[in-house]
Amino acid sequence: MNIHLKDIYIAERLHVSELFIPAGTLTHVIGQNGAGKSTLLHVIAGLLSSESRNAEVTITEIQLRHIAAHRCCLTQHNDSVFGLTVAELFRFYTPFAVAPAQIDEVLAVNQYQSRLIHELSGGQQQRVHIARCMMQVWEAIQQGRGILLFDEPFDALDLAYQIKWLACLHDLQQQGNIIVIAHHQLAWLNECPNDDVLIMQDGQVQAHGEIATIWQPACLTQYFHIPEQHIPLYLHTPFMS
Amino acid sequence: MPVPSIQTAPLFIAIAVIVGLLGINVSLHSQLLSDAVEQHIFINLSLPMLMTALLVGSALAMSSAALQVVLNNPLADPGIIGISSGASLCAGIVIIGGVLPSSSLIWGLPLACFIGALLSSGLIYLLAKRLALTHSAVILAGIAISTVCAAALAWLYIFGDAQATRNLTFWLMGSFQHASYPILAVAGGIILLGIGALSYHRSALNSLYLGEINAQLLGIDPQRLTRVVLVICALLVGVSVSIAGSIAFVGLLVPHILRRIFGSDNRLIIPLSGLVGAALMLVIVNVNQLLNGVDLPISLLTASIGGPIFVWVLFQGQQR
Repeated sequence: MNIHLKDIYIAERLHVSELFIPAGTLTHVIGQNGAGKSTLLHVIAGLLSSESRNAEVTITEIQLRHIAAHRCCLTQHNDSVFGLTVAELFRFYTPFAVAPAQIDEVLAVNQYQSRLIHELSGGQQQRVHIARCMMQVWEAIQQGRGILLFDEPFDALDLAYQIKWLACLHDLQQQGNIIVIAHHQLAWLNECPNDDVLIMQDGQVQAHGEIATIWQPACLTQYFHIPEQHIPLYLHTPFMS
Repeated sequence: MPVPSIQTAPLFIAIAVIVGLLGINVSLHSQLLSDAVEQHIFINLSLPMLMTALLVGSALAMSSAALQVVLNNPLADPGIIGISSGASLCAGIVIIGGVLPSSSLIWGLPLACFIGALLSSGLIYLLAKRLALTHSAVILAGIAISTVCAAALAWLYIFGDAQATRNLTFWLMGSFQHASYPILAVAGGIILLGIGALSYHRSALNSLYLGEINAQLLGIDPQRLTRVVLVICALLVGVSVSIAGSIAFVGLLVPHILRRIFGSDNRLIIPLSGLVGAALMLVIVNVNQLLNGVDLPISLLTASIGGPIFVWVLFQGQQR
């Protein structure tokens, strides 16, 4: 199971001539605001179609009609004006009434079962929605055939949950699942040298490969326009040459 | 995909209440079995009235429950988003404008109302699409269409003759006594079809709570679902308005209260709204009959009974 994008073009937002994401990878998509990170995720998630004629979004080995059981995507906005409980959210969007033990261990969401979502704190809501997305494709994940896309999932998550959840994702990646996370927590790149990084700028992929080989402080100057003397200490990577 | 089950007890309770209310109504006709006059009254007046009440109550409450979800607005009802005002305007054109000979009113009025409801729904949808198809845009468009329809209706009043305007006024306030069997046969058929169609989509509606994108991620086409549900609701509301006039507040009230008590699962809320809406209308029929001969406008009763209940529910807060 691989993801293969070809000739993707969305005016003023995204232009990707070719992108290949193999099974068993965890990719950090980074870039400035408006660089096209969310748009790329939405294209992979099937939410946006390319405007170009020869565009291809291929996910090998998965039949299109079963795609919703394999591919999930956490988007940035998940509010409801209706007073839904966490249990209802799970029932409406996943095959499970409660989170499987393995997910609950990491995100501790089953304790909120009867609570209304909008009464939870921002971080608690984010955990619930992350759990919801993973539960949607949980069966596929366990077979190592899940595609997990997350748009800024670390927002509002406290560090303890970030650590636990990322460790969990690394386990799932080992089993063959494809994980793509768009985020701004660049410090995480230093912690995960064997993950992939995909750097975006002006709707285009500027660099894509293993963090240990690609990522260095110069990237911050080049792709984020941060002057060298302003790069914070915690982003000086151990992979500096 | 295993589907978590829903509680069914409220559905059976609602059915029991409806049967009970029907029983009470039948028992009001104490000499039903022995007296020929009483039988005639029951068969030709009471029974069509009960059937109208059941059909209209379930149609309005059920379509509102669905509209609230597709428009992502717990306050949506056919009145607020302007579907019923389109139907009312067409009724006005038919009654005051005298477009149709009175002999064809039986078929013409429901048809005109349905076309009116469909036209206004279509306009609302197009207008909302130009306003980027956000849910508040649909509501805004609905308010705009309602205002235009109300203005047009007011012009009709000015130019209509006295008898026709009086007929229209009574018709607009809602009544269950207009319906006869031929109308009911057609309207009932359409409403039952609409109810069936909404019930068919009740599971899919659950995926709209978090917005269109999250529905799409589950493999559902949210725009198509919204379009389909809007058309079904236009159908249900159009037919309801055409056989019973415009009835306020039931649509908003019933699903809103049920969601507060039983949660948001549409697999329960959609059918239960239909049943409770029907039961509520039966209560109103019974109240109306107990008032002996004074045929009060239905909207007056729904607002009088429903309003205080609504306030009470709001004060109760979340009951779960």
